[in-house]
Amino acid sequence: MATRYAKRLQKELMELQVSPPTGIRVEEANDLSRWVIGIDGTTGSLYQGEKFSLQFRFNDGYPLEAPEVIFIGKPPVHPHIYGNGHICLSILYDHWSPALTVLSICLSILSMLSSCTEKVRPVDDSVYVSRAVGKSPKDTR
Amino acid sequence: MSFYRERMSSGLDIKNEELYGGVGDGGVVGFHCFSCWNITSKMSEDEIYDDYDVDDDSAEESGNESADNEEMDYEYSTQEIDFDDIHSSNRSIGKLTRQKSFEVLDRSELVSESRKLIKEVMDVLSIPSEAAVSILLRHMKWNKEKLIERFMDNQDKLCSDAGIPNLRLDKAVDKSLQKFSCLICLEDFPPSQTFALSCDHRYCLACWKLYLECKIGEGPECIYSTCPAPKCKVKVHEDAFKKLIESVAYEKYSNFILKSYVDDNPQVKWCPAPGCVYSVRCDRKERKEAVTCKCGFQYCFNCNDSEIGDHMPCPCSQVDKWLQKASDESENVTWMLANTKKCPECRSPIEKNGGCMHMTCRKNAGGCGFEFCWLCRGPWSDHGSATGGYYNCNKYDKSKAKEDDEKANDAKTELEAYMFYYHRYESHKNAMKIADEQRRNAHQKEQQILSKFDVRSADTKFLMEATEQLLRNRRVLQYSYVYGYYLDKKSNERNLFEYLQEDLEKHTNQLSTYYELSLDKLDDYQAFIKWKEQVTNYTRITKKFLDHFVEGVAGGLTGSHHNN
Ligand SMILES: [Zn+2]
Ligand SMILES: [Zn+2]
Ligand SMILES: [Zn+2]
Ligand SMILES: [Zn+2]
Ligand SMILES: [Zn+2]
Ligand SMILES: [Zn+2]
Repeated sequence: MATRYAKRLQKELMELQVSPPTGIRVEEANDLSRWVIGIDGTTGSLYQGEKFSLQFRFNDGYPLEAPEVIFIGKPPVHPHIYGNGHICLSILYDHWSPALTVLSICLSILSMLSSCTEKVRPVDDSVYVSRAVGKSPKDTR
Repeated sequence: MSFYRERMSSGLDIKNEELYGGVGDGGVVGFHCFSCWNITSKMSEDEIYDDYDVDDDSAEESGNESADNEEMDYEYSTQEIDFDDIHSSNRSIGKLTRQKSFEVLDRSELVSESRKLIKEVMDVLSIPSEAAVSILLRHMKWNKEKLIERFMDNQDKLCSDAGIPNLRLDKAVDKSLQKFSCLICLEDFPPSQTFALSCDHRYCLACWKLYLECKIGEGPECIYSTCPAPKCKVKVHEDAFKKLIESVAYEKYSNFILKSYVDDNPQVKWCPAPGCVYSVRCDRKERKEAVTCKCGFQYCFNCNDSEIGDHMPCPCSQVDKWLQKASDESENVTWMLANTKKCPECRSPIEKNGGCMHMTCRKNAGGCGFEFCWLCRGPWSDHGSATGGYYNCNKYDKSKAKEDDEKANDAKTELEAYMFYYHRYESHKNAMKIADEQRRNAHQKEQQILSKFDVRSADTKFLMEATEQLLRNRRVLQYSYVYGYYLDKKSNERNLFEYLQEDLEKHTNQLSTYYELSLDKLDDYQAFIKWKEQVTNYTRITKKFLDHFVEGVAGGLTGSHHNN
């Protein structure tokens, strides 16, 4: 990883570990290029009381390129989250900006969960999941 | 059209007899004295040129030759030593005046054209910034009129849609700040080391540079890059690119801007030749003549395809139709071709490695020595002027054509007819590739000649001229079989067409044969000069035949010959 931005990643990690916002915690980051972040369904939302895990993978292009972000374990049942943990969220793909951070991604995903009114999978879930076997969500768009 | 019939039936037996024809009859003019190709080797250059003078005079009388040709004729009759120089420079002047309808542009001309357009908009709309207008123009696909209209209609909306709100470029930094924290690298900088567009999303210079270079790496879309801030739609303007990135990367970026200028402009297209950097502007809607790029590639501007090239005498739509058919039939054709590329006598496989259609089944390769025509597989002794025999190679067999009528629904016969044309089309196409190679290798041949004979380098210019002529002839011949395939099978046009095609084909083959003569066979200077005269002469002759053919197809076939 380019040293310049390895430093940014270190800073982001430290910030999250030292003063994590409510409902967000670093579960795993032994390898700087792969983190697991735990998030809690917010109070008052359909996901209150549920816990989820997000996997972040960073390549050399970060933050000029978006990280690869998916749910691991049991993904939330949500119209924009596939059964295999892939997330339909534009800032992770076309609308990525290098000024976005791991924290801002987590907050976006939490707000996406909070605004949900019906717990259902995407309509094309089974088709997408079978097509996306072994692929990064960045390559299935 | 009795003239053509007459000449057809008398075939090639006519010698030393001058024929001028087609005067006032559909625009086909100026046939030559047959002597100029039958006894070429005995003629001096002056005699050859004299011949052309006579010919062209007759053409002038008929009022059908253009003015630039007349000019050339005067040059023909002079006896200058460095004849070829004058001749060719004159020819290019003639060409220029005739083909003003297109223009080859290099990179700097594209730059100044696009700058000129930007300047015009700046003046009309009183916008002082070139960078801002450049964004507006790119947003409007370089359409100046549309831009001005939209700008007048709703300036604010247009500017924010285009990503340059209020036409503002950069946001100056607040110098009172002690330090500034960059949201991309998360580090602190003095304000002087930061930059922001009008939206005031401020980042350090290093992050800007990496961000923009990353965009350029992604390709042509980089010219529409926006500010790195999430959801910000403000476009990064040219001056910012220039200021923030290295000059090598900026060069790449400018090339992408030029690319958009060309791609968005229907009157300008890149030359399709592989690796060519030029572009061509062509304003006419209908194609008439091919355009010629500075790289030497000649092609149809409309089709703009390096494989198709120029397709005179066919219209574009016919080429489309033909290529579609070729791909539909390709399986059948492959099978037929694979099963017919054998010596007609002994069935040995035949390899074709010259541009000429005269094939020899090589004894040293286990063959029988049979000499035959690549196109019709008939014995070569039946062909060409050497025996005065009737050359029947460009016509689909008449008796077969009759059968055609009888078995109009027989698909196999139709495929055979198609195969006839397809095979010739392919053969000339391949011969063209060989001619192209010969043209590129003409320099080597020149060196061999210069080292073998005591001649000046001006004496070898004919090599390049011959190969260029061969190339042109092969290309026209190639497409002439497409044209012929779609010509009405029983029309009068067809007779004339095949007649002109035959002439061109025969003499082109002859030129190929002469050109491909091994230098080992030239024992002395005399032999060289004799050979040079043959090649030079045939180059001129085939040029005339090519002109006749092209003029004939353009005028004579479709003009006043609707007798059927
Ligand atoms: Zn920075
Ligand atoms: Zn911005
Ligand atoms: Zn070119
Ligand atoms: Zn065309
Ligand atoms: Zn043989
Ligand atoms: Zn033949």
